[in-house]
Amino acid sequence: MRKIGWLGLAFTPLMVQAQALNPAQYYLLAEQSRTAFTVQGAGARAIGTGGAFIAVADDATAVSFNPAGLAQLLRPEVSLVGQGVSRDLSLTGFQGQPPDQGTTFTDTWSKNTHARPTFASFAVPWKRNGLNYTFLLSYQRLFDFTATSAAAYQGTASGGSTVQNVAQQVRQSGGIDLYSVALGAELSSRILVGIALNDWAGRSGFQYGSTAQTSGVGVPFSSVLAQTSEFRGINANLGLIWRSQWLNLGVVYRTPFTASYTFTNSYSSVDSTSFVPTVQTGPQTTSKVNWPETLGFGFGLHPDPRLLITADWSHTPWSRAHYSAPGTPYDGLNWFDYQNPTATRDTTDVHAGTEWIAYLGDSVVIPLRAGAFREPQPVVDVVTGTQRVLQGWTTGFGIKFKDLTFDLAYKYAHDQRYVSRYNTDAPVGGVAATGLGQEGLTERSLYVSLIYQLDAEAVRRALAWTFIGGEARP
Amino acid sequence: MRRAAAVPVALCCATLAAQSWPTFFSAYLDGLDAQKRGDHALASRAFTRAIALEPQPGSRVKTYGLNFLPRYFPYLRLAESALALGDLAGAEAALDQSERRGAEPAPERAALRERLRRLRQPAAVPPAPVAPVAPPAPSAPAAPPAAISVPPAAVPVVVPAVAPAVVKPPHPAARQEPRHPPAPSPATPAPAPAPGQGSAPAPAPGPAPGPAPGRGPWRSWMLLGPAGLLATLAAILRRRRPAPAAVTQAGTPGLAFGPYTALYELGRGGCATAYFGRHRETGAEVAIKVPHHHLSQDPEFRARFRREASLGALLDHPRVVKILDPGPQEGDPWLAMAFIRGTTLEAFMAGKGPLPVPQAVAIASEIAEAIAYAHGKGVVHRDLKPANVMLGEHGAVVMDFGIARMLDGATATGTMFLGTPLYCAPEGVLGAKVGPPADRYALGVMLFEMLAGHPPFEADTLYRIFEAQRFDPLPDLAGIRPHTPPRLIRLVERLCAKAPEDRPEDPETLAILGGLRPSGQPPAAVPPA
Repeated sequence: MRKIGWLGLAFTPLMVQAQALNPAQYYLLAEQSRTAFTVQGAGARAIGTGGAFIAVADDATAVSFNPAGLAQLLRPEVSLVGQGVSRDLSLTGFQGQPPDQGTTFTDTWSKNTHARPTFASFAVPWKRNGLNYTFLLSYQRLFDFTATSAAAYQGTASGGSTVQNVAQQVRQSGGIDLYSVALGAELSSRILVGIALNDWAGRSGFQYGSTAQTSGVGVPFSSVLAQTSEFRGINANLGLIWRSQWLNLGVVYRTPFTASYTFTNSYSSVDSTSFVPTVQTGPQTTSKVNWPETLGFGFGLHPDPRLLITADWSHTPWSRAHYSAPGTPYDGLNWFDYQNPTATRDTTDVHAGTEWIAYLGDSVVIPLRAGAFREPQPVVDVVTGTQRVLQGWTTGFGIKFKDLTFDLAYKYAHDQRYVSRYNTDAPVGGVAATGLGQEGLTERSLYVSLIYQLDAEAVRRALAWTFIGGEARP
Repeated sequence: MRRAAAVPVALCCATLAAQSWPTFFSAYLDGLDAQKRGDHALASRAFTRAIALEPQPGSRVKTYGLNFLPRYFPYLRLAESALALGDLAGAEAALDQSERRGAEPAPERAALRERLRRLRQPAAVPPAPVAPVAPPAPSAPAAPPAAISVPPAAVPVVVPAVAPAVVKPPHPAARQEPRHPPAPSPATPAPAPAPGQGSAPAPAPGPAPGPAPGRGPWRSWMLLGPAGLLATLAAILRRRRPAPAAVTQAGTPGLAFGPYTALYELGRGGCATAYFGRHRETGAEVAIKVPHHHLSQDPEFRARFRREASLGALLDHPRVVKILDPGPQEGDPWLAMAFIRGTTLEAFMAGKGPLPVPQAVAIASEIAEAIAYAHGKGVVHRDLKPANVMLGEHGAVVMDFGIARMLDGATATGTMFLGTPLYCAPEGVLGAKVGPPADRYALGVMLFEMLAGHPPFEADTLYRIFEAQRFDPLPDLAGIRPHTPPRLIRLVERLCAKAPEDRPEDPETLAILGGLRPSGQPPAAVPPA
């Protein structure tokens, strides 16, 4: 059974020197570095309704949910979305498992916050033969890997009696960005179609730091495993919306694609006996990653023009996400768990929400929103087999004053599960400590959207002046 | 296999794409824009479509996203446009609907009703011998020119269907002395024939058949009883009278347009004013068309007007009224075109009933020559109708290539019934891009009208006419006009096909009409009065 993982292959010099890494280590690393894998759009309005927007998609953020919705836009729009995340990770109640029953794990709580822009777009609609079309350029941070976490335990190295105090820190950064060009077209009163071509550009960094202080030894053993990866690919989102006065139905299909994947890593450590620092850098490896498709359905119900009830269902067969590198040992291995056959789960996300609109005079609109969601993640724990399933609720509101719309959404997501922890220093002399316990993850996110509707005639003239010159063509 | 599959897919896409204004708010907003531009025909279509999709008016009506219409009052807006088009029955129907729906502001509705009432008032009473607004009835003495000054409120009704583009020859008296047009003497016992109607019989007093008997609005007025009858009578009389306000009203003498001097006003419509003028050096007679100031200030309209006028100026054919000067490239736009003495086909057909087949074929053939030539030059008329066809001493000539649609408001204003929609191709109703087939469709409708004595599709409201253009089968011409050559009937049916691609190409049309035309037949000439 081939269990040598991607990480190990990239880390060949180290493996020659030490033992081969336990596959569990790879799973762990993969899990920790790939925590946020919900393929979803952006926008505070959509998040406010639980993230359900496939059948609604009627503002400039539509491209990230369903490009068909762009055809509903009648005025040029500029939109900006920002997201702030507070992430709490707790590791509690861990107990050592054979052969590490003697290990004592310390309960730890890690908290990190960060904020960044996650979406920007410029949409220009126009009419031809009475039908509406919209062209859009956008940027979206689809996956954000920024996170830190910590763990600590006390144990005994395998075969020995010396007690070690181990402190671990994981620091991640980067993400996968989408640069999109999209077109939405109104085919009839009922049918809207859209396509978005996405350039996926990902870059991520991962550092796994470990410090092991052995009793009676003055200098702790410390190591840092650092990885960087780059990801690049192109796919298309195809969207369709059927609409009527009371009901909208939406379908979006994100095509599968093959991305180039470049991976480098290094391992630095200070030997606790010789005090010699060592830095080993693995070779840069380039491979292909086959990214699976995502299929989403949604409906939007308008029992009253002011009330929207909407829900989405999206399915991504993550079990098909695998490396494609013929002639290499990792060809066909899954991107998440390096096993063949994979233990990675396919995921089905469900989002649902509602929006109610209040009018203040002729120029102010105030929408109130609430929603709920369930977002299973693809990675499962290698020992317990549990899957991280983020569930939670959202709420939000907005203010539209004349041409400017401000939306705010709050998202609460939580997962509690029984997982394993593993000390990756084991192959190089650390404590081979496996523990099982409770992992609690809570994410609190704040989304802010600004959408500004521009004067169509002014935009048309500006575009004509820019690209045609002279007097704008009617 | 792929090709076989592509055909139904393409047809499906084309069918879907043929739909226009898929949402009520899109239609409504376009209607407002069209109203702003003075394009009331388009506005009417748009409002009608909006009503079809969302019949309930209201305030703060949600559109998409967080957007809403502060006021969605399609019936009032439709009534406004109908009034501007002279479609009084349509306006009344819209106002009735507005009242039934109840969500539109009553004061605004009342104001429009009052406007409608004022517009109808002159038509509901017999014209006074010296009417300040209406011209004299055929049997009444003509009013002096000073008495024909038109109060602003009456302009839409009183200004006759003289589009600036439809340069009817001036009143005979006016033609004799254009700078100081004398009115017919009050003592003149018989009315002068309408300009350009020299060969038409003088209208008989009384409820004689109007120029378009049986057309929707007339029919609906008749249903109103005696008042409707009077209104119909007055309207008929107005239709048949000379174009007094346009012809006899002194225009702006001495007003210079490039090398031309405007001598007097020929007509004033919703979008433009037409003047009779002369070239200052050569003395050549011209018709000068000047868009109204509010349109001239719109850069988009100005650019389009210039472009269309310049395109039209490229046309040089005996069957096309020559645009002599497309006007300046800067400043307020205008254009000068050849002044044609004669009558419009609309006026020629008025009250005549069906034309003799050879005459209809000759006129249609000459129109077909004009559009075939223009299409060959890449120019589409887009608003071909009897009012844009002049019958002069050398036969039929077509006016206003390119610019007619822009000035449709002008041509429609003052007509007492629907003008353009009667000849509008289905794809034009849908708002789709119209090309040469739309001109062919209009030719087919005109040919039908010449043969049948009335257009194929008539109704009380714009909406019904549009719907008929799109969906109703062509009435059986063979039944209406027996003994019409089957080949001619087949040609009319093909020209009036709903699908543009089913209409015959220009060369085929010309060939068929040429084959039906007796050899040696002279042009469909109408000697000037």
